[in-house]
Amino acid sequence: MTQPSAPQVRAAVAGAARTITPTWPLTSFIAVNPASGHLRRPMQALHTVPGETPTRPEHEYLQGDVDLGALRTAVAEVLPALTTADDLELAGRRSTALDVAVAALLHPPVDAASASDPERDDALDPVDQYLSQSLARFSADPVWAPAPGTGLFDRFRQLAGHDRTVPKRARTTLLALPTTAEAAIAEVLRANGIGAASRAAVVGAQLHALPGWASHLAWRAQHTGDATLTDLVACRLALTHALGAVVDVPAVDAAAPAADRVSVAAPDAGWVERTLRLCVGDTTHEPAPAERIAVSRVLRLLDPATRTTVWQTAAETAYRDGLMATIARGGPADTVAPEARLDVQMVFCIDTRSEGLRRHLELTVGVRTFGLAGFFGVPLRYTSLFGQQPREQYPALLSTGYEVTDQAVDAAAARRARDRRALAGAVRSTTKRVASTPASAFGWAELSGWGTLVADLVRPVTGNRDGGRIPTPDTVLDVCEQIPLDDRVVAAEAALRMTGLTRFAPLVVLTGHRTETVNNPYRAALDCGACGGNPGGANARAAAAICNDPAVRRRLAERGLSIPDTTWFVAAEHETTTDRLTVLDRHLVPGTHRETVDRLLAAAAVAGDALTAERARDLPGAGERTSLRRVRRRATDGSEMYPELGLANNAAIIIAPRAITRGVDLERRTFLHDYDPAADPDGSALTNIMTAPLIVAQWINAQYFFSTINPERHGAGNKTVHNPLGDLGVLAGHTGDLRTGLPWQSVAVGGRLLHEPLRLSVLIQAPLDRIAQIVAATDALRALLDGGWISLHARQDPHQPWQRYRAAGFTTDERNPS
Amino acid sequence: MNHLITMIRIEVIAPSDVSTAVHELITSAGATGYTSVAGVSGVGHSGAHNGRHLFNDHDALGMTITVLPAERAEPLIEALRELLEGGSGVMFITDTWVSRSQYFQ
Repeated sequence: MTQPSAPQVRAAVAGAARTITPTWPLTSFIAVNPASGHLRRPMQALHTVPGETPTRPEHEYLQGDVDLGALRTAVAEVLPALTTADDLELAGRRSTALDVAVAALLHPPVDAASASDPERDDALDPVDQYLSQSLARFSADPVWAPAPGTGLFDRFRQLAGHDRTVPKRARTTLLALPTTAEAAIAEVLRANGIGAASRAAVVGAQLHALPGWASHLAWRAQHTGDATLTDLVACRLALTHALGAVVDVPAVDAAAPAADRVSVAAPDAGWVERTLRLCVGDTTHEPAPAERIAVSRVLRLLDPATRTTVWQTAAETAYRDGLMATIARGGPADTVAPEARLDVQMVFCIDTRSEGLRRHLELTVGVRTFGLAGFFGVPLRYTSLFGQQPREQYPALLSTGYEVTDQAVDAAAARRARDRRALAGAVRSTTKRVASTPASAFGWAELSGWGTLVADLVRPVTGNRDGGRIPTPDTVLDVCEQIPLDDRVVAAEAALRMTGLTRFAPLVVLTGHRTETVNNPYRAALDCGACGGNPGGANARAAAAICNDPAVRRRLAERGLSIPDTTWFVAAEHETTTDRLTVLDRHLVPGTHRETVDRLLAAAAVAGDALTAERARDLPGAGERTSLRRVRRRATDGSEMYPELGLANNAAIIIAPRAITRGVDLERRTFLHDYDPAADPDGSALTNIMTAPLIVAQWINAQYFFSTINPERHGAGNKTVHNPLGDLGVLAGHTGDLRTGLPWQSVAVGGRLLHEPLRLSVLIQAPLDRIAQIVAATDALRALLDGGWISLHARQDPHQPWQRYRAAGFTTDERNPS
Repeated sequence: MNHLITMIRIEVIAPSDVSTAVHELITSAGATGYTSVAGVSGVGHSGAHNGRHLFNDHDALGMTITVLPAERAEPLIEALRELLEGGSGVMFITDTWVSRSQYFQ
């Protein structure tokens, strides 16, 4: 048997790795589409992929309220042949094929209605258990990590080869293997008689045995370059081979889905009979053979995968119809402040949580809001005043950002603050050491308990909520020094044109967002995804500095975008756990605008209170009567499982002027991106929106979707048993594979879902031909739309009905009002 | 063509998420280097392919070019063929001549 070459081994791994989605580490956790490796196929093909599913179990759909109109629409969409099929003659009554299908869906075969989910088996194969522990040591502890320039596989081979918990014969075999991953894989494949035909399947099986670690190493290969998936395959194959186990050739190639199944089996006879009687409205009706055959023809199309697909489509149709109807109705007259002199324009991140604060803020006279991706068009590698390393504050779609650093306004004050921070750090370190040393731990617990009690009693009196946190001195970002003028102009123009912001109020507030939560490994999942899982304040500050730069303004004016001298941009942050708004860089606000800033902050405090009260209704363990203080205390409660609900229940992105949704309660379920075709003569702004914010919204939507419908494979499990592994991720308990996705508490409380899993509905108000051109020229959009991963609905203006994008073009959907 | 040495030039145009794998393959084949061009555009059998977008490097096509001696090119070509088999991407192979062959050995 010919041994595969090193490139052939790499090719086999790369081919199998197509279905592995990289997972970001905890401190920069961002939402990704965990099924992105399957985008080349229709989403429904996930039904045929082992371990995957594109829908919830059928019985879960039947437990909720059913919108019969939406169900009928969904049947017609998923099974269009039924809309043109001949009517059925049943007991002298005519029934359409759609009627029969709807009746059958509402009363499925008995076993489907009561099906329960199999319990997850967390126990790993001993090979995987050993490998998982080894990878944890290598990745989380520098002492065990491979030396620079050496491969992960060789490190594993050396250590396992001298580990006395590994049988002696296995150790000998391991040490005899080649030192490079490719050569070791080739050797094991040859020794086990695995030829070219089975190579891809065997390699894929190694990756899918530890999907969590595979996802982490896929990220590592792209970002740090110190490990590859070839290493992982080599480690697992080598250990399996050394232990004398047979390297199996999987019956089904996990990396390459089988052909779509076509239902040819006859439907369950009892189901046919029951459906038939439901259609004729007589439970005693004795069906004729011809009637059975006619109904069977319809039910044959309703195999289990198709049924859940119909139900999922129906749920999305029902939500979208409601959304469109809500937009058409508009908000009550008292939910929007009357048009008056415009004092403040606030630009928020498209994040679904912004919608709530925007809605409440717009009750304030003179305030208007806009939506834009929260990095405000300025990708950064940002180093804070006391930061050691730059933070990558840009969307995962981009590969790098501008290096910017905080510069202290008062160098002496900065030195004093640095010294105080160093002292506080030393105290924290000493305290931690005392608390963790066996000899002193118990005594320290006794002593510190009293101290904590006194501090808790004093804090409400002194109002020292920061617990002694040392304030950071005033700084400015060196944006204008680090980013070339041409780039600053491009960034400013893109951001302004993408939001349609071409006429300016005296004060423009660029509002990023951040979360406040403690003892929460998934904090970054609650921060701004467009800022790489970081607070968005730095990007807002950078964008404000660019828009205030006189040189930028001069160039923008030459390009038809005149920002009046009386307009000032400021940065702010919306804290999503407490709904407090903070204006950043207040020392830079000119005296002429300070009063407006103060008035805005007063209005924001009122809006924040209203939003917190609104959110309390949905938060587990809270309700309408829960005080705002109690809700906000979750931000500092280390035992809190639900500090906030993040982007749970996200379901749509609306790309349109705010005017069409202003005053409407969208229940914090929609990403809102402003767009005005008049400000975008060449369509480039819409291209930017559809190729970046829309894609990111789909990633977020898919992350929540799959964490909810397939928590065993794509969720991080229960927070209460999380065991963080450095920055890499978490284990559920002390062992097992690295978990990916969101914790169960991000999408559910117990058995009740907090997140209704719906594929993203995209609503765009813009010229249809412009939208169609962008889709036609963008591979990623075509894949999402043609594969049914998202749906796109558009209209030219509010007077036109919404039309749905299909491969053949836009078609009017009669159910959707204008 | 005097003093020029014959070699094989391989060009691969593939989605950017495949480019990393292409680079790995080239390196593992013993090539001494490659040239990578991000954000290329054009029209292929599956339609138009956009170039680089302002805020999206991820969903773009990349072109990788490498040159290596014929004896090392064969396994690389075979591996690249396998890699591209399951997805989109094209590969062009041509004879080429180089003046400083030691750079490519």
